[in-house]
Amino acid sequence: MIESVVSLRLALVGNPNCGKTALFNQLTGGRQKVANYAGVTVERKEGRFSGPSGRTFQLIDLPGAYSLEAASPDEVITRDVCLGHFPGETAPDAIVCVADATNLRLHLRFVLEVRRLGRPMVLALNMMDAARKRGIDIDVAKLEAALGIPVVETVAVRRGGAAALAARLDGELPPAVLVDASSDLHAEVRAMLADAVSMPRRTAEIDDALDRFVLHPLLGLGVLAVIMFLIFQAVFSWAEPLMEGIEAAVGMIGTWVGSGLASMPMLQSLVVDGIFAGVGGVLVFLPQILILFLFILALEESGYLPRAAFLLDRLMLKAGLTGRSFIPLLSSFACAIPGIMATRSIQDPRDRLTTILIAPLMTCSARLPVYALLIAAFIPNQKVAGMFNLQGIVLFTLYVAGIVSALAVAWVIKLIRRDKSEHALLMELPSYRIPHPRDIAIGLWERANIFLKRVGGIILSLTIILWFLSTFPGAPEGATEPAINYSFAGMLGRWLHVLFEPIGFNWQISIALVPGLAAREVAVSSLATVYALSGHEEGLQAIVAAQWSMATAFSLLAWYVFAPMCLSTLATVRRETNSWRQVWIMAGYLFALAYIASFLTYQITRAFSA
Amino acid sequence: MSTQWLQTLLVAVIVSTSAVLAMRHVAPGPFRLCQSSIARLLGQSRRSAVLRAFGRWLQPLEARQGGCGSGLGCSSCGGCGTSSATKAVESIPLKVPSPPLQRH
Repeated sequence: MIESVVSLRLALVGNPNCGKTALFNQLTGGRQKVANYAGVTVERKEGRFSGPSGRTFQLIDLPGAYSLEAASPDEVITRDVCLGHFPGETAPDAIVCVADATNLRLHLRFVLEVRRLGRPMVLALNMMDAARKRGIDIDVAKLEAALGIPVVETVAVRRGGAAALAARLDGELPPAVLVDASSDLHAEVRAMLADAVSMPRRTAEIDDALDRFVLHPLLGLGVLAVIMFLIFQAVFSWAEPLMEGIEAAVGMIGTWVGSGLASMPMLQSLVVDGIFAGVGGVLVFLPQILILFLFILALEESGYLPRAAFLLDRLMLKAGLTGRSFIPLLSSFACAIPGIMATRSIQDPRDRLTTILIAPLMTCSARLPVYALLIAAFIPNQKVAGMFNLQGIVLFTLYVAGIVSALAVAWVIKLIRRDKSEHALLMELPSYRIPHPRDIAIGLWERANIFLKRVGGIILSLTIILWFLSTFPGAPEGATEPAINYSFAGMLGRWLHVLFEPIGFNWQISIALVPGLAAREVAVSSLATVYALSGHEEGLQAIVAAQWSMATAFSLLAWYVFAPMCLSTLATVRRETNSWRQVWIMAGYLFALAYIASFLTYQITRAFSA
Repeated sequence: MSTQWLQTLLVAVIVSTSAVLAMRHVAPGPFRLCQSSIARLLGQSRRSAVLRAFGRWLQPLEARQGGCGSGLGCSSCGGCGTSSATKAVESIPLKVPSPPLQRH
């Protein structure tokens, strides 16, 4: 393939949440994550696009910044790229500054600051559709004259909404404007707004009306609790038929493939007991994961999440965090790794470290299969108060347990650390937006892809390895126990059992915890494989319900609330903190908490059920 | 080849491929190091042309595979972040300043 020659390198800059990444996706056809709150992009991303004439442009999407005087690590990247100080690359040929047309009072200041760099520049006035809806009238020609740079209207969330920008960039760019660097930027902004912009209200009427409820100190918390509660109800209530369908399909294909391999019993065992039992056992949880993400994506797009951060700021401050930690912690519900990366938007290094250390306590989606399996096996599927699903309530409680533990750990860190200064939350509240079905569909497609890649990649690989370890060496002649007891996995499981017996884990659970370190869902596939090789032919849920005591199941649930994180998370912590010490501290405290919580849960449940 | 041999061969190939893939996921750094060492060894001029070609094929491409913890950023991760055809490189190590100890 012949690589097209890049004619210009362009950098996309602007205040946070002005639509840079949406514009980047529009131009390059990329699928970078977008959401309606500040701080989604914390890395530098690259893509390419062709202008109408066929010229190829390289586009660099940068984290949002309020100023080139960087205050947080993500703003440092933007500043360094713009100034040409970023390691290994020169300054961009031109800058595309993006500004939210509904909030020019704030965004124009940064535009003026970037203009001082003296580089060729284009201003993309984004969200022009929203501005028109709110009655904001912008005289683009006057603004262009005042700024001395081309100004182009864009609607990044609409198909073709960036065509005018692509066409403008494809033409001749005007030379850089040289301006007086000592002028008062705020005064300049005020003068430009007075001359070129007329707006009936500073904020949208509907936003103010909604915020009266949503940001109310008591009502707001109630709304938040109800939303979270309903999400977990839906995860259990809506997913059931889909899960049953997947389970039946996997079982049917497994039987069909297995019967074709009847002449090769070892290969048949690998395929049926290893691949189909193990991987199928995890695949079945796809609907629940997608339902959870349907709500998370909708909330991300709606603009509600920063409001939730605002509501929880006081509580988080008491625990030694700031409201800024909210978004990284929320990202950790998908996976701790993007959550840890998102802490780059936190300015204070101590707050950032605390957030990194507690991020794995947020219940990531990889834990959902473990929770769902145990809840479905031990909690009756019945209604509470005639309308609430009991299983959904238990799942909600487990998520809350993760959140409460995170706050408790943050509070302890606050007690230990020497610097006890608190940092006020300064956060932009975006306008509410009705989630776009196409964006949600793309988001769900991405999540399904991620999950299926994990299933077909690391989960499948580890399941096959576990099958091998559970099959070899075979039972000696005259053996009286099941063959798996003589295998490598059986031996390892019994050694580990000594450590985990006080918390109620049998050797099968003990062995499943080891590959679970690579990806938590593997614990489920490992259990399915180990039990299938032990001669159990029922589904994993039925086996677990019949073989384990309630105390053991609850103990494992408690373990997974704190479960020492996956190895990828540890690697990310090492990279972000540049310290092995923090990695050991995190792994150590999580293991200790998991063990203590499981021990207490096991002993208390046993005492009550005796 | 008897069915028994074919079966053993198939199982061996599947299990060893899984081991390599799992290793690449769990420890991408050491894996890449090991891969490039073998590629270098095979690429020596005294080896046959076939082995040298195999060595060239084995040589890890810079940033060919991402992955959480691979040093390429989370968006390169196939398992956790959003997929990306773009490059994500930088990391920002955390530096926590130590406040001066108070002396009484």
